[in-house]
Amino acid sequence: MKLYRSLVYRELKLTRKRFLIMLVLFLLTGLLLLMPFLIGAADDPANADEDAFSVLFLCSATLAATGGVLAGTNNGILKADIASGWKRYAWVLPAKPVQSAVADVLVKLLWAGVFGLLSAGFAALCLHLTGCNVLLHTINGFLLVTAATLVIDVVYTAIVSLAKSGKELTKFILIATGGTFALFVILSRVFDKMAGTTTIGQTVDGGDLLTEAQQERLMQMIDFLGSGTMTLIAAGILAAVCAVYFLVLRNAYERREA
Amino acid sequence: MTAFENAIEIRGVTKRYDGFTLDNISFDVPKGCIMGFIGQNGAGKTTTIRSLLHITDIDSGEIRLLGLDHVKDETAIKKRIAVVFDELPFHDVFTAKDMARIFEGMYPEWDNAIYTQYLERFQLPVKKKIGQFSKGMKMKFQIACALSHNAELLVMDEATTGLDPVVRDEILHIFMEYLQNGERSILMSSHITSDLEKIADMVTFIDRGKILLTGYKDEIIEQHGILKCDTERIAEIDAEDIVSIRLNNFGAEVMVHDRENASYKYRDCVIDPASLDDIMLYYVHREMKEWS
Repeated sequence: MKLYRSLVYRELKLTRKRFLIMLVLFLLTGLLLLMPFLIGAADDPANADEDAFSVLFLCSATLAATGGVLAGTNNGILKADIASGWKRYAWVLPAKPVQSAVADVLVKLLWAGVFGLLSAGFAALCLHLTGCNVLLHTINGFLLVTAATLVIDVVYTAIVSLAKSGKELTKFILIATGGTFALFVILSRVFDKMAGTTTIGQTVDGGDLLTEAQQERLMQMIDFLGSGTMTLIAAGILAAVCAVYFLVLRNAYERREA
Repeated sequence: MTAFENAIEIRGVTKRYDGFTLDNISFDVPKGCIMGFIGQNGAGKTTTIRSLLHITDIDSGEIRLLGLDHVKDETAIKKRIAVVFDELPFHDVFTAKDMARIFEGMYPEWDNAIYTQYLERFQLPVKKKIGQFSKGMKMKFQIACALSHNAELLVMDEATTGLDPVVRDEILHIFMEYLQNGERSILMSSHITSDLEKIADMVTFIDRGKILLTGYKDEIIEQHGILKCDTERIAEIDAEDIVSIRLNNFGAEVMVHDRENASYKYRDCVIDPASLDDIMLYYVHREMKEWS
């Protein structure tokens, strides 16, 4: 236990400043998004039914996405450890690769927890101010975005720990960037197909971007995003990504210099 | 705890890189001993140290530290050893206080009282960020961390390189104190042979990935000598006695590896004692035989 305390302390100390800046950024975003409700909708909650829900949904999605990106993004420790020489020094310390990897995941989850709670707090505040409930949408969105960002971090960590030279690192990064772009294109197409949306800028009768059927399908998707089932799925995805993250980290700690 | 005679045992270790091979090296560091590990830059000192610390995997051979296998018993070994690198491997943002908090959880025998004593002795500030330390302070700090968990084996890779003579002397003095109980051992790689001449009990000399000499420092120094003669006399000296020959304007200086024998064979020549620096220099040029 003492060992984990030491490892976590080291990481928290190293990431503290970075996350405090992110936290300020996150809180400012939250405040900015809350402004209209603090000023307007709160005056006339009766008027804030359907429109307020749409606006709130967008706000909470924006904030959940911001929180998820900030929580899942790479914390810079691996690079800093390589630059300072700690990565090499860590091999002569008694901490096992598993223990070091667990500490890394714990710190990641700790910061994710902070941003998750704040995102949920934002949704709770919205509920209090407008009466619209987007709590599950926010939590689920946060979990999904955190998982997606963590996937990028997993790939980055794997690349940095696998590359044997600067040249190889550049090659791996280029391949990964190409892969990410291709994945993004594929996922957008899949989403388009699922929602049945039109191409950007194209309008249907009456000037709307979506047909009635498409709108209905999109609302169904939004409803599903705010369901308990989705919470389970999102939590499962995040847990799986965390497990992969742990394995990649353990492998990075086990791996010796060439 | 396993009983052991040698703090380090290296047997037939080979590690191949593109353009360099650590070639089937073997040597021991007995318990209670300071072993100086010498060789020019690129000779294989750091590769040997990285291999024994399992920073890098070896291609073949066996390494035992404190009587334990360096891979299988890695965690057990690492609780009982300390390592000092040529550069401070800690993040600049940490303070001495932070490092104590990190190390106390890692080492079961971490002693904050000893650590504080070393910090006071080295006049190192507790709350100042490490990034603001001078080079000498950084090295002293790394040594303070290494000596505060009752390590039985201290491995140092060029730890005194780049330090001024006063700091080096202070550090060497501390190593001598550290060894006083007879249970601790030090492997100290350096190309500053004067430091090793001061404190080492034994010396291992590596060149181009091969161990050329290993043994007690005094015996090695005693065995070698520099025979001074005219260049015409060189032909009269048996090739078997010669390590290499340095030519200068006044004649030749021949390093012999058996001074006693050479003093009988070449009675009319002066044979001066050799320093570790001389031995290293002449052995490095052994393949050229004659150099200047």
